[in-house]
Amino acid sequence: MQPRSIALLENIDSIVENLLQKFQDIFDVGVIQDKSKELLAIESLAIETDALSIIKFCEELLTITKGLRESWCLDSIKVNPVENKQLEQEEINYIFGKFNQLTDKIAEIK
Amino acid sequence: MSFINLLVDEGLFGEKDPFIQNEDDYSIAEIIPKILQKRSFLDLTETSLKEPEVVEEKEELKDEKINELKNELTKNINLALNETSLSLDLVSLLLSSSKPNLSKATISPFLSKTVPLGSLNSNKLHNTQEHTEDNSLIGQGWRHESINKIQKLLKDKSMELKQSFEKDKKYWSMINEIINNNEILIKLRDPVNNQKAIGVKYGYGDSGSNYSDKGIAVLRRDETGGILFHPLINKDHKFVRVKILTKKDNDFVITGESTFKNKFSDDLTGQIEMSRFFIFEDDLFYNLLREARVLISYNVQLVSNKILIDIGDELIEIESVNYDKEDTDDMEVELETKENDHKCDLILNFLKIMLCGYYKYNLNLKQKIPTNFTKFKQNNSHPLLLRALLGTINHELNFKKITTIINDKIESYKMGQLEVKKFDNINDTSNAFIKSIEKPVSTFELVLNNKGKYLKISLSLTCGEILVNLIVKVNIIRFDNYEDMKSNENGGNVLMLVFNDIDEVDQCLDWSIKNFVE
Repeated sequence: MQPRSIALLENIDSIVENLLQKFQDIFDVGVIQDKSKELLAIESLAIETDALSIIKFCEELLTITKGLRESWCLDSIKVNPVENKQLEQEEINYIFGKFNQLTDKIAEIK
Repeated sequence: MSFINLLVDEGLFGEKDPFIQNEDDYSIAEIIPKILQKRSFLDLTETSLKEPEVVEEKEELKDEKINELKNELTKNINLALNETSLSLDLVSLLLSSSKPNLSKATISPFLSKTVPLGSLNSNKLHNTQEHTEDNSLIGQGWRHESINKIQKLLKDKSMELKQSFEKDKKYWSMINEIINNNEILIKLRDPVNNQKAIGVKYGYGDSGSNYSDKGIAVLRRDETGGILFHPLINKDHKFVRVKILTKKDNDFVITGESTFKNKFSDDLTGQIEMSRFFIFEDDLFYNLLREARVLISYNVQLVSNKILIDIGDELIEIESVNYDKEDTDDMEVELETKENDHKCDLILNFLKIMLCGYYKYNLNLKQKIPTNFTKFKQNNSHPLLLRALLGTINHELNFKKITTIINDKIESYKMGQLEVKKFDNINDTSNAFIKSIEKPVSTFELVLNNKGKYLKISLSLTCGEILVNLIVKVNIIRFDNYEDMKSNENGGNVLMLVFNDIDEVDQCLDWSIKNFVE
């Protein structure tokens, strides 16, 4: 695999991992057990920031798909396999005849 | 035994201390009560007066007690000092978290060495037992609130992302459609807002065309994610139309017109196709105009963006016409076919094929290693469009004229054998288009026989480098017998001339034949 692909896969892995981690953080913090008001308030904020990071990670995943599409469409050169064959004399003769017919018709004068 | 007299400097004390009284100065009335204070005279005996040691012993005991007390005092003072310095240390350490500089001055070196500053903290202690119930209720409320909040946040965002994803999907599927149509996509910056965008290269810039419009368009997104096709250079759509006018009663009447048959669908690929078609038409007309300027001295006129080519009784008119979709749709129904319509179409096709040939030539030049020579060739090459067209027509015309001239001669002198080779030089069939690139050469060989003598007239009809001017090479040789003529030996050269005019050829032939016959 190319280093670029590996980096991309690693990037995706780390985003997914972070995404799951943030969800877990929300659930971890969700427990209310003899916690002081201050701690509870801070944890509420932590839940919200976690949610925002989840959104951010999702957006990052989408940008990755967009980047992939772009590189597929723009960075790759489509090459039609042209058989580098020598034109058959017959074919040339055919075009020769056709073209001469065309020029004759053009030059035709009544 | 020696005595040291200790003299008190009276100046040291100034006046005599009034409180220290000399015992000797006391009167008897005064001294007796004082003595009575210490001891009574009742048990005063002589012996007791003789025993002063007892008094001394008592004094010693007193000193011991004082010393003891003194020691105790210093001990207590030390203890207190220790306690205060300890508490100062504690306070300093406490303070060090908030005011490190202040505490540094007061903290003991030992403590500052062994314990890091600011490591001691204090919190107010509450009796929280009674608030836990409250806290858990408040906590539940807060949790509920924040979870509701993030739920809404995530839901909204997911909807938003889903929508943008749908848009993206549409956009990219259209891009894919374009790619499948074998278009070339490029990255570029949208000139409107300088943002990154995807463009399509539909023109002939990479295919050997030197036309100023390279045919690049931006593919912009609209609100629904669809693609809007915007060429960077927006021009009116024009196409090239060829007309043939024929002279009838001193007036030119249109006898043929090329038809516009192209149909473009309204979808994206259709739009690209259409732009590509019109860019080619523009390129074609631009090159035709360029070429026509050179050919003004050869019956080619430029009249108000029209190219008129005069060939005897016919006039070929090439013009660039604005494209209007409705118009062209209607036109097809209206127009009745004329005799030269097909020929006009053929002329247009011929011009297009020649332009493609020029592209191919340019592309080959570009693919070669750039040298001064190839660069010169690139900069100085012109497409061969009108010259080829006019050259072919002129050659045909002149060929006919010369044939009639020679046939006239044969008829009027009632002798002669004619051998004609049209396009004598076009033998190499490896290039299908050689007829329009090479100078055409047609040869005529007329052999006259008069009283056993032979006259061989060779005519070679060709043209100059520009393909449109006329060159006739006339070579007349006289032979005394048939064998010589056959083997082309011992001939007498009569004439070897080059003409640029048909009439002159006619006169020359007339003169030489007359000369030979007489």
